[in-house]
This record gives sequence, structure tokens and C-alpha cells, in this order.
Amino acid sequence: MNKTLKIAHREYVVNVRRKSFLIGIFLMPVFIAGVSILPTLLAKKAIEGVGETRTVAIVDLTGQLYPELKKMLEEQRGGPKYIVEEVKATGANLEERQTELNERVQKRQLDTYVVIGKKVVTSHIQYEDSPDHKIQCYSRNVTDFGQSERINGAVSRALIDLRLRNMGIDPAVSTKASWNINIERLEVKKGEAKKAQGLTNIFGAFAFVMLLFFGLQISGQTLMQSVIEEKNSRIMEVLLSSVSPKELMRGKILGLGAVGLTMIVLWAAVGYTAARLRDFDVASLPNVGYMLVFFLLGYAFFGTLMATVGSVCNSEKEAQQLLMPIMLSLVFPLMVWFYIAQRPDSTFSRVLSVIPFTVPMIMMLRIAIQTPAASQIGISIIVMLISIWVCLRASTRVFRTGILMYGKRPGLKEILRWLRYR
Amino acid sequence: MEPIVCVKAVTKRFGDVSAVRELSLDVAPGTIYGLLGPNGAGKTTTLRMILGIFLPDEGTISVFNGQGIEDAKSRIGYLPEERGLYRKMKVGDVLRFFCEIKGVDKITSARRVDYWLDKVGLWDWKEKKVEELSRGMQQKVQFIATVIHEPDLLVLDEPFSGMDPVNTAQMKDIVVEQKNAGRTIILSTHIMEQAEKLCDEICLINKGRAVVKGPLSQLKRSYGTDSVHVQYSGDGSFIKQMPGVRSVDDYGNYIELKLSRDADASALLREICTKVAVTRFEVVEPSLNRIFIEKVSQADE
Repeated sequence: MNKTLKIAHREYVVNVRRKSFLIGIFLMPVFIAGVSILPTLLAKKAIEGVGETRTVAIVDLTGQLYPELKKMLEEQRGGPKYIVEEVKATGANLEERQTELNERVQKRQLDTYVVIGKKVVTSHIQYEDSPDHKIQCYSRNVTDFGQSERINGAVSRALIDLRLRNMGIDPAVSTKASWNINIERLEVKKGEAKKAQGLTNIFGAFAFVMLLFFGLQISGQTLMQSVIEEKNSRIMEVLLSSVSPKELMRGKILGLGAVGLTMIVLWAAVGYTAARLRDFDVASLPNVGYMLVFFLLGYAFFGTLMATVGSVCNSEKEAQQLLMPIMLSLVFPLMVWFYIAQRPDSTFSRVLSVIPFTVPMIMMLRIAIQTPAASQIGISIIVMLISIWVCLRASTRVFRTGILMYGKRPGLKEILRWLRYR
Repeated sequence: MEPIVCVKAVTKRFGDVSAVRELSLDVAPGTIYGLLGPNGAGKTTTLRMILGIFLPDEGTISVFNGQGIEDAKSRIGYLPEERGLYRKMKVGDVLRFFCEIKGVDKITSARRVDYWLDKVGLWDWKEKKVEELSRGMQQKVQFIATVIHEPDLLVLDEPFSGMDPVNTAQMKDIVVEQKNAGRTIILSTHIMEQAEKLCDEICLINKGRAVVKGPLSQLKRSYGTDSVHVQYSGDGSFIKQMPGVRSVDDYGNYIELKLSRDADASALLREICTKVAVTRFEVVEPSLNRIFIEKVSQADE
């Protein structure tokens, strides 16, 4: 045990002093904040469009809506400033006008134009698929949701008001009738209701998954590289004349695990502090605790696998191939995380919560979104512990033989044979 | 005295290839034991089995009277054939690490690192990274790593290969010093002259099998003092045909004659003197090289 700790200690000291470690410590929180917070902020800014100018042309074939519409768009508060113009057209020259308008859109003189069908005001048929009954909005950028929402709102408001007036009702009445209808979403957690944080909640949970992913990936890779390096520089033999392969492997796993833990604790501390400042609910202390637990479990599992891969390879290039399935299983939760976040209790989520390859990240995500029953967390932890035990036993055998094999990389069949060695 | 290392009928196979076959050897305490043989004879494999890095397929190996190999590792120092040091670490740190994983405490380790670096003239390099050292210096560092924890048994695989003569001499002195301090040393080499100078006992192996083994002095005696070195000027081609001469080896500067058992060396000298100018005539024990080549070619026939 003492020797194992000595090996671990050296790994720790050497790796913590590395420049790449220090850079990683500082850059990763910035990066994760980037992928989880920045898109939301940017999207919000884009949707609001404050300080921008939009030019809109209206082709009002009813001849009744334009003045109202222009007023509405130009007087709108918040959002971009609208410059509205009218383009006169009749049924006969509509096509010609539209060609001109398309050209102006193309030349960026115009952002959007709206064609209001001749019969929309009086239309009483529920669905009529003819241009006369339609309002068509042409834009250069149809995915600019904030823009189309505002135009939609203005057009329908103007139209509804007109129709009401035609029916002899004061539009102010309708405005009054629709005052203050706000639906607030609340989340019930541990028997208590809380204001739901919606998107921020999900992105917070995603940040945990990202931290785990990078933590596992970086520390696992480092472990593998360190094994390959020792193998290539023949330090292995000197080490093996001092310690047993088991002590060596466990020492390395332990040492680099401590490095990984240092890294992830620092990240978590930065993340937690940042989240506190913005009253970010997801980053609660229990969640941070869970993350450390699942990091350690995940690392013991993936680290053992990666150390084994390193032991049978002569170069990192050679190792990439064997590493592929492991990396894929690490990336997999990142591909399904959104679904799991929506349906944390689905069968799919539960199945992934008992597969050792996906447990750490999936369970972490579920806990962050909606803490599952303690029994479920317990089961996945037990699954991990058993897998780690099996993996460690098998790996030690492969490791023992692999580290002294140079030359051609052994095939899977040969590796399986090593498992049976004394 | 009980042998320190006892290898009994050991066989080691890698796939279909037998690297070592039914090899037995005993190493007496306080001696230098030479494991000799050409490249690929199975020397490194044998050493690795003694160290417990490989397990033999057949036979048994006991070290220090059957002490478990993992416990015994602290009492063994190993110099592998291909040197390995952490290139990015400082010289002092590497040595301290290697000393500590042998179970030596921190303070003692630090003290010994200083002692040894000073002794081999690398004191100024203590805080330098290993990769900044020259090859020769790295070899010295590796050598220190082998002896720093004061092991009872030293296992040296090709200890002098690739060293310049100055370093070789310095390292050889350390080996002898270790022996005089009562330590047991097993070394492998394919350079017979080295073994001849250092070893008390040897084992010649070829293709995984022991060809000859025993105390060096005894071996040489059993091969007889039937070799003669002659240095001369003139045409000595007639010597080959002289009665009593079994074979001639021409080394350029001198020739080595093997005589038949009943040959009279002094009569031979008198006769040679009549035809060429002899500058040296020496009755010598057969060189290890000769014994080895003879034995190996016998086995190959």
C-alpha cells in the first residue's frame, strides 16, 4: 500500500505542475460558461433586437389596415425601430410589385414585406386556401423569431380591432378583456413549490454533464498517456523491479484520480460561486457533492479501462483505435442529454442509469434536473462499484502482461488469453 | 553457504518460442555471477524472472531463501538493459522517487541522493531535468538508481553497454566496491573480456540453455592451460603444421595456439625461435571467448 501511495504521489506532483493542467483549470470554466450561458444570452439579445432598425413594406390589398398597422409597428416599445412604408398594388399588378419587392429584399433595402389578402377583413370561412384570404409575410431571414412574432402580433391586433369595429364593438373593450393574463410556471420539488427556472435549469444541469465529461475525458487520457510514456521510455521495468504491477496500476490510477479531483473541485468551486452570485438554483451543494461522487466512480471505471488500453499499445496513435468505443460511450450522454432532461424518469433514462458506461453523466443529469428516488441513485452507485471491481481485476491481468510487450499490438483474442494467466 | 538466488529447471515460453529452457543456477552470496551469452540467448528473460517481472512456466525460482518476491524487491537493485528515466523530472527528484519506492524513508533518500550525485560528479546537475543530461550522464543516474537503496542483490543487465571507457571504469569500480561491501551481483553481458575480469562464477547460455557453468577459475583449469600466445615478426604460416598444435587463432597482433594435451610448450618455443623472431611467448589459460565459441559450435553441430 505504501508503494502504491508513493507512485500516486509522484503522478500527482508531476501532473499538477504541468502547464497544461494549469491552463485547463482556468480555461475550462470559461469554456463551459461559454457553451451553456452565452447562447442563451445571445439568443435573448437577438430576439429582442433592441437598437436595430427594420424596414417593412406593407401591401395592403384591403386598403383598410395600413394606417393602423404602421402606427402599431412604429409605436411598439422595446425591440427594433420599424420603418414602415406602403406599397400600393391591385390584384392585377400584384405580381409585378412582388418581383420589385423581392429585388429590394435581395438588395437589403428591405427586411420584410407583408401582403395582406383582399378579403381577410370580411373572411368568415374558417379555412380558405386562396391568397385573397391570406396574410403573407416575406422575409430575408425567416428564422428571426422575434421579428416575425412582432409583425404577426401587430397584424393580427390591427385585423382583430378592425373586425371588432365592423361588428360594432369598441376595440378598447377587447383590450380590457385580455388584460393581465399571465401564466406562471412553478416547479414542485421536495413537496415545495418554487418558481421554475426553465431554461436556466436545463443549462445548469448541462454544465454538470459537461464538467463530468471533460473531467473524465481529460484524466482518463492523461492516465493512458502516462502508461504509454512509461512503457516507451522503459521506465516500466525499473518500476516493476520495485513494485508489483498491481501496485503500479493502482498507484497511477489513484494519483491521476487525485489530479482529476483537484481539477473538478476547482471547476465546481468556480461554478458554484458564479451560480450563487446569479442565484442559480441548480448549483446546490448536494448537487456538487453528487458530481464529485459520480466523477470518482466514473473515473475509477473509465480510468481503469484507459490504463489497460495504454498498457497494450506502443504509441498514442495506436491507442486511438482501441480508445474509440470508450470515447463514444463517454460522448453518448452528450447526444441524448436533452431528451433525458425532458424525460428524466422515462424507461430510456432508467436503462442508461444502470449501464456503467453511461451512469455517471446520466445520473448526474437526472439528479440535477429532478432528483430521482434514493433507491435509484443507490442502484446506479452499486452498479458502478461492481463494474469497477470486475474491471480492476480483469485489467490488472491484462496490464501485467501488456506493459512488458513491445512490438505488435496484441489482438483481442490474445488479450482475452491473458485474462486466464496465473 | 545458502545461495541467494536459486533457479531450478526453469522454462519460459513466449507463444511458441522457448526463451529459456530448463535453466538452473545458484548464486552464492557475496559473489559476482555472470550470465553470458550472445544476443537473444535468454539472459534478459532469466533476469526478469529472478526479479519476478515474469513468472516462469515451469520450474521454481527462490530469492533470499524463499522470501516472497514482492517483499524481496526492496532488497534488489535492477539495472535494465534499456535505460529508463522520467525525462521531464529533475535528476534529484527521479533518484529520490526510485529510492523511496524501494521503501527507504524520505530523509535517508534525500541524503543518499546527495551522496551519490556527489560521488559520481553529477552534483551540479541535481536540479536539472533528466532530458538535459548527456547519454553518459543519464547512464550514471540510472546506475545510481540501481544501488541507492543499498540492495543486497544487484541485477545488472548489460551494465556497461554503450558507455565510454571512462564511465565504464567508474561504474566497474562501483560494482567491485559493492561486492566488497558484501553484496551479491548478477550481471549479464555478451562481452566475455568484461566477465573474465569481474565474475567469480559464470553461466554461459545459448538459445535458452546453460552450456557451461561454474566458478571461472575452475572452468579455466578444466579446459587446461593449453593455450599459448605468440607474438613474432616474419612468416609464421608453418606454425599451423607443427606437431602438437591443434588449432591457431590469428588476432592480428598475436596468435593464440591450442596445444594437444601431451605437447611440450618449451620444445615448441625452441623450434619457433629458429624460424621467426619471437617478441612474446606466453602460456595462458583459455579465454572465455574461446570456451564459449567452442561450446556453442559443439552444441550447434
